[in-house]
Amino acid sequence: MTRLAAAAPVAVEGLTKRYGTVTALDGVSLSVTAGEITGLLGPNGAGKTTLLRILVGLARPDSGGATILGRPIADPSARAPVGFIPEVVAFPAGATLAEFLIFHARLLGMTRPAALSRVDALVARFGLGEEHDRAIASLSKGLRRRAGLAHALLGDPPVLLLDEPTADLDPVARRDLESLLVEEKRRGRAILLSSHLLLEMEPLTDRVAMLNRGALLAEGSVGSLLPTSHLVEVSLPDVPPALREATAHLLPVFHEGGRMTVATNDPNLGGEITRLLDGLGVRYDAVTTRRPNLRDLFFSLLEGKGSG
Amino acid sequence: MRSPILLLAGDTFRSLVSRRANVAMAVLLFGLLTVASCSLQLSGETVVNGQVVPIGPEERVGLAVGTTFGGLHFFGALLALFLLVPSLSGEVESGLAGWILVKPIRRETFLLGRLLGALLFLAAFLALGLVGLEVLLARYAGGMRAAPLLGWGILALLSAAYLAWGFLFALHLGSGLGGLTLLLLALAGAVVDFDVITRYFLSAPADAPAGGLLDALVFALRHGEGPPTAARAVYGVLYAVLPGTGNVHDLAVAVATGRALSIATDHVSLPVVVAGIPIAIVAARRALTRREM
Repeated sequence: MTRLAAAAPVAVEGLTKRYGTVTALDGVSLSVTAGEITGLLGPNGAGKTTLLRILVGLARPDSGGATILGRPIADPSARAPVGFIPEVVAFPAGATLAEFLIFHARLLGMTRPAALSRVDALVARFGLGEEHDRAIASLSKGLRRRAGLAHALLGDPPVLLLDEPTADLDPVARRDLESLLVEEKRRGRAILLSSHLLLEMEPLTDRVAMLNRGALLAEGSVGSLLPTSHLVEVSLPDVPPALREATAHLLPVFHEGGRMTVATNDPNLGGEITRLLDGLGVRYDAVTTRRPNLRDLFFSLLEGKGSG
Repeated sequence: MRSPILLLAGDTFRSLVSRRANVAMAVLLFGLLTVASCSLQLSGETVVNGQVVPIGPEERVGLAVGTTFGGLHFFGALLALFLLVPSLSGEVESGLAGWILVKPIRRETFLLGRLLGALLFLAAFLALGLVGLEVLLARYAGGMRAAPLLGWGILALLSAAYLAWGFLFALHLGSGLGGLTLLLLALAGAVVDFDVITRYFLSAPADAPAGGLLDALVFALRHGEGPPTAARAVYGVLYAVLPGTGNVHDLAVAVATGRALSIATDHVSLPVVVAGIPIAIVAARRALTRREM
């Protein structure tokens, strides 16, 4: 573990995990910074959940390691400063929201009065007052996520690890949860959240780590990972060879079905390409210029990896 | 600040108490005590060590204690099998255990807490049975004569062993297959414990000297009647370790009634059962880790 990585609230280095012949994580290294939301992004099966389960001690790596606030994850005390929400939020039948939270607060070492006071504060903060004495298993998905977040914050942990926290939420519940996460970030917590919803995570995350089939494709701030300021997209029935030749110097160019995408820092390139298409006599549907996003980054990384 | 083991035990006990299965348990207990009450009012003759003797007060008490302890043992095993063990394996299989295990809590702490809670529940069931029996004995026989609490403690230890091995099987094999395995073992134990078979292999002669646990076993193996010593030794091991045998239960009854044991290995089974508990817990902990919980 490098000194710089070990200083981060969460530092992962060379983590590898295999299930039989499947490599779930392949030498992944990343770090999570305090006061930031880091998005652990990638498609289903990328290894996101495995990484989070290793960090909270539910799975063991085959090689590599990780530290949380400098403590190696093999030590159970490393989990003390961590709040975690699993992907599937199931609660025990028969317990009310308050009973569940109080029991878990006490497992964290709080006295009963301290647990009661902490639970009351969190329930009020997350708008769960009306659900205080309701069976926790009967809560709606949105309320369950909130209850999960309240559980994760019981011990006021400096690190939050959230597995697909917004995956099954409606837009309103998602927006509410996102604002709660931004609030927690501002309180200085280091937040690592996994998601396969690349576009929706973009406004929420300060940094991203992109995984695919267990391999880390990229890690860094969103701004630094997006290499250009603009994308010019040309929709056309087919990309003729003449057009490919004429745009070969405008790298990087991506072709996907009937669409050609050019990454550029020149905001006027769209006009130039339109003129080029007209000059070549190529039929096209539209030429649009927009800002690149995480989805573009992910596919460009996949393409780069494939061609490399 | 309370220990996590006690918190987990309390949580387990509370959740078990709130289940409807308790009603069935209360009915079983009532039925059991009714049978024990009938035993205390029996008259006529019975067979003791192959001899027909009139049923006296001693036999009536022995029968009532044996019936009650046997019933508590049997129903306790059923409770462990169908209520307590599935509650733990269900918690692990549904992922609910994850809420606890992502905290700075060791797996053995989690298992011990759950085991202790389940054991408290079983102990309460056993205690209700014991209190009921004491009331009956006070009413019909002037009270129990020997060491009922010690006998009750031995039954509780046996229950702890059932639970620990049940947890182990359920975590290794899943609740269905694990429960079935424990049930088959218990049935195998019941066969091994069948009175005729036991006496054929292990009966100690009537002149067996009093002595320590090991002395008793060695004497039974050397001087017992029937098959060769090696066969009796193998049988003795099975008799001692199989969870369904009534050996520990017999010991509990003997301690509670002050009667001597006719089978030498009854003395040896208890330490074997007690030693099996930590072994099962350690193995169950490994199963939890293997299941990534």
